[in-house]
Amino acid sequence: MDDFRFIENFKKGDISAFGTLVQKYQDRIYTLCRYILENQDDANDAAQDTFVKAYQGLKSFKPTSSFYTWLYRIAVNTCLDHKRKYSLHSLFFSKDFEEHIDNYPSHAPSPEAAYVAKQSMQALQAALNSLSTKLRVVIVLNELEGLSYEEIAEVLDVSIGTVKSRISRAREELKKSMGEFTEQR
Amino acid sequence: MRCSKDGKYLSPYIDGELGAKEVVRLESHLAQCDRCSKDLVEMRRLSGLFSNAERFSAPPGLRSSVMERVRGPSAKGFSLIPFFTGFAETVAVLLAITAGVMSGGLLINNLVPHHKGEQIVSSLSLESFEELPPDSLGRAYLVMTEERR
Repeated sequence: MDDFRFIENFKKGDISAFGTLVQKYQDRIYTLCRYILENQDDANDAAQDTFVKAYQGLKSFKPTSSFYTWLYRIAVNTCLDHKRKYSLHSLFFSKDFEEHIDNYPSHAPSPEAAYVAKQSMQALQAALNSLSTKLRVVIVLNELEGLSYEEIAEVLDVSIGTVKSRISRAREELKKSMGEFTEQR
Repeated sequence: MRCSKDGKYLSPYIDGELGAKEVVRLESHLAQCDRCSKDLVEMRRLSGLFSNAERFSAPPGLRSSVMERVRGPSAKGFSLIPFFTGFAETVAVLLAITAGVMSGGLLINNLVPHHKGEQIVSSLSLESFEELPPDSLGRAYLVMTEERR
């Protein structure tokens, strides 16, 4: 069943239809929040808030855009609000970044490959975290969530040209930060 | 085409977001520019890293927490409706009791004739158990039942 059918059922009073939508998108929304907000507790809070806001707005949702771009827009705005709210807090209680990236799991098969993969993933995570939020959001939506430029423009309510330029800048900055992991040998 | 400044063309090229004409121009440029070709390789490596980056699974309780929140009163926002509903119910019950008492009183005072009311009251008094006359049927019955005991 497609999203619009679930939405129609929800509008008729079937709350379980909304539960199905949460089930369908929770991993993607949580991943997006996790990469924007950097830690799992904040990501969990933001993902929950995203779905609660979606629930409150779903009755007035008009299918002029796809449900998931609408949901991503709520998620991005919720994460930005979250960052604003906690930016002052983080000045005094910043998390140990090394501890955070050490927890990054690796699925590589051999110990050597696992080491290299883990190193590169840690470097990628560190490079992502060093980006400004604007650039981080576009690159995560593009590279991790696989959204087209048009969809990203819709999510962020900006022009395609802006998306194109932000993604190019994000890649350039990541390339500089990643150094040895992307350089041609 | 001159060298792609800050990945202006390379980035949309690897995303498949470049127009057909621009693709042709960029590819002919790449064929003769080592610097841009090197940039392209590095950008593709970067994209490759993203394809291996972890996609997280939502915490196990996320869905149930969301459903709990949306089913609870906080998701609907603060409302005075439940308070007024409870208040209205209480008032309705009190009004029904008062109306019942008042209509009962009216019924006794107005609909039932005054002398009939007195008869009803006197029928309930202990005077109805006065001793029966000695030659009455009732008295004879009482004597018979007392003898049997």
